[in-house]
Amino acid sequence: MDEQRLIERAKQGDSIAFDKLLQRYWAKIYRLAFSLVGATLADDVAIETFEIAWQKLNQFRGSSEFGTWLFRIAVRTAHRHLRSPVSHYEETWADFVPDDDLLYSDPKEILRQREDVQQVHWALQQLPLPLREVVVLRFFEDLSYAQIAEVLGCSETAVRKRLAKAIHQLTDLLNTPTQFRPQSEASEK
Amino acid sequence: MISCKECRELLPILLDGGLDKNQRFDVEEHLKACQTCHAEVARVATIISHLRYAAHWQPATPPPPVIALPSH
Repeated sequence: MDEQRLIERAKQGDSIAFDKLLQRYWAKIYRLAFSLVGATLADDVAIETFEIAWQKLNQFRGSSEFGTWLFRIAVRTAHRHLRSPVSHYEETWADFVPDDDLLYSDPKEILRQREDVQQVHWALQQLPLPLREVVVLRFFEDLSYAQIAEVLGCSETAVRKRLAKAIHQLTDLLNTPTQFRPQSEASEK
Repeated sequence: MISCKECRELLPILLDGGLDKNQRFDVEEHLKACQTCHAEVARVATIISHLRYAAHWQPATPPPPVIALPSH
């Protein structure tokens, strides 16, 4: 069934139709929540996003894509869950698995790359949430500047400024030797 | 010509492909003339490349939950 029909049915109270929407978007919303609030809170934020979406479904007019609307709810929910704008990477440490197209690479190379990916996520967690969210929406969710502006309720100019600031901070973080070491390396010493 | 501060603000967006033609021209002209800003290009490009690569890795995701939905 196409998405529009599922949405219309869910609006009429069809929880099975809504569950199908949840199945479609769960991984995307979980991943967004994970990147914004870390592993500890990701599940709560993702579930609450869908609970709010169900409650507010009649407010969805279709002026944006359904996924964009869900992203907006998820970002607001993430803000509410984070007491501090900066969370700590210890709380968000998690394993990552590559997309299928990377699975056939050299295993040693995959391990090294996994540590690089964990380091990127560590650096992201050091950013204040307003900077982290533009990076996540742009690079992990592949949204355009216009879509990000729609999700965050700000102008495209503001998105560009925040993104530039975030990338400069990440550049400084990832080019400066820090206490951070991937766990596997630390445990060998 | 734009200042180093303006160039620094626009450089990540240039490398992300988000500048219009005029802005792109301004930044590129500045980079031709300014070695300090030019040196920043590789650093910022590396980070953007890391971010794009990290997007191909997913955190372990739990299966979709069963949520008890109250009736509308």
